[in-house]
Amino acid sequence: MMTHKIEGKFSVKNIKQFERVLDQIDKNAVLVYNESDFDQYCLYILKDWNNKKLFVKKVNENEKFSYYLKKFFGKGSLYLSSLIDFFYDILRLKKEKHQKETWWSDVLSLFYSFGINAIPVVVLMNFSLGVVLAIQGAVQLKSFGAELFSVDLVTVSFFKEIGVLLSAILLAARSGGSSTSKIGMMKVYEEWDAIKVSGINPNVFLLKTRILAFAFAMPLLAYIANFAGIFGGFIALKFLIGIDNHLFFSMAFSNFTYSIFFAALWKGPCFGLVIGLISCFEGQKVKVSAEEVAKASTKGVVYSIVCVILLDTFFNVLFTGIS
Amino acid sequence: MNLITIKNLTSKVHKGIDWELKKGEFHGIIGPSGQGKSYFLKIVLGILPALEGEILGADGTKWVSNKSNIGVQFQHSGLISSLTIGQNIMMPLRVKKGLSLNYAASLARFCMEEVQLDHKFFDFFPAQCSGGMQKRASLARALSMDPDILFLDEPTAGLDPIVIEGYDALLKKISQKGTTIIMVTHDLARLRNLSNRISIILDGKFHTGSFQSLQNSDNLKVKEFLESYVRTVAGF
Repeated sequence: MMTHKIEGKFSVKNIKQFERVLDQIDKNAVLVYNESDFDQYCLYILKDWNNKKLFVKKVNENEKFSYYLKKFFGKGSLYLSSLIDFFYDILRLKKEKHQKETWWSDVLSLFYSFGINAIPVVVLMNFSLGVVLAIQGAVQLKSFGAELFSVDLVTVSFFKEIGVLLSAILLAARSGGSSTSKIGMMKVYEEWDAIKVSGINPNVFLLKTRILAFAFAMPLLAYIANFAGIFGGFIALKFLIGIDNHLFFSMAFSNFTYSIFFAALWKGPCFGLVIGLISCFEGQKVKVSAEEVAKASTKGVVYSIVCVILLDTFFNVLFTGIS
Repeated sequence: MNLITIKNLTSKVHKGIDWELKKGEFHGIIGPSGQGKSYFLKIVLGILPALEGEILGADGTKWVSNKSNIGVQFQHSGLISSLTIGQNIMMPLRVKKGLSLNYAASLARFCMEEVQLDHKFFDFFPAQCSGGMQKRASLARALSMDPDILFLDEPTAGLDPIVIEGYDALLKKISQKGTTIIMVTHDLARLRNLSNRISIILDGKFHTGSFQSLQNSDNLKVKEFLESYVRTVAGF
């Protein structure tokens, strides 16, 4: 049996190149390929199995992108490129004959589970963070006699960054992790296969609905987080420096420009999409064992949070640069 | 008439398999563990890809499982855990046939009766049912579409002998109605009673024929496999 070293993707101009590659590795191996399949400048994948036969398979259209990205940016971009391939795959999904395009009732029930059910924990976390931010802000600014400006600190921080970011982290940990494990377990217990042979495309039925639900749930959670954080700040400042209600809210609302108030409205769906994509991507990679499910869930949550923070950094740098 | 014809199927474990499924037959697939019995079924169903070869339908064109009228019972039953037993059975009826909820529900109840599953389980979730109940529910779902071909992947694994006897009687009844059945199992004694033809998978190759013809086969590996089975299985 040959080693698996030669397995991989190759961009070749003709079959002679393949034969040369093979010749270097094992002179007795046979190259199995379909002449009619062989187009010039196409990508092919080499699969070596037993019996000294090397199978040449044409690379799928959607795999090409990852190949080129990997070629230009190195191995580190492999995950990103696979994710983009997956996103591209989800976007151009074709429904089966009798299948509805998207199960909107499922999107709604998932939205309820990801969004509405997460409200208490989002409120609690952001309220607490609002209290902390207001106290720390007031304490630090007091030395300049500017403790009142902690109102601006809390309001702007929450509406511009903290609300949406913290909601995204909570959503990734709470619903992202559960989605990854659910999809993974469905693959392990053949539920995925059962859906497929029932004539339903599982990618539409299970993944697209989830990704949409994440994208819809995020803005809702982000706005609730923003208001909970500001309320936390208000309560803290009320007790700490005895701020007047009217003064607090007039100062808070004076900060609301369009760009600040609507930041969560466009950032939220972007973060939701990223969380949904990564969770579903990791879930559908599971093949046979529960061990894989555990690993996929961990990866899904960690990668989601990392990607959301990186994306937020990118948005900040980009829009600060533009403005 | 062949419902499915497979030519030169090659995968990680299969080596150039030529195989056919005849209309109305009960075809059993057996072999030692790890030889790719379930894998073969999944390739035929289009769940896993093959490296080479073609799968043709009755009309000679490429056979696509989800466009054909088939029923599948998976090894782990494959019931969707978030749906009730009733919803699971109704799913292909609603999605593939576009039946109304009431009509699909009455058909689902009829299928439950067919597999001797009490109506009270209609609103139960799979996790609330025993393994045997889940297998029956899975078979009811497979039968709900009145399939031309029924695929069974180790349908009675882990069930007690009394339940298996009842299950076999049910399969006989379904087979007598004219449904083509293909069953993967480890139980050669049951296959001998149930199936018209048996495929033994050994070293990635299929050896197909009736039980008698396989017993009289010149192939040493087939003989050895059957003899070892006779030696180990009591009452055979």
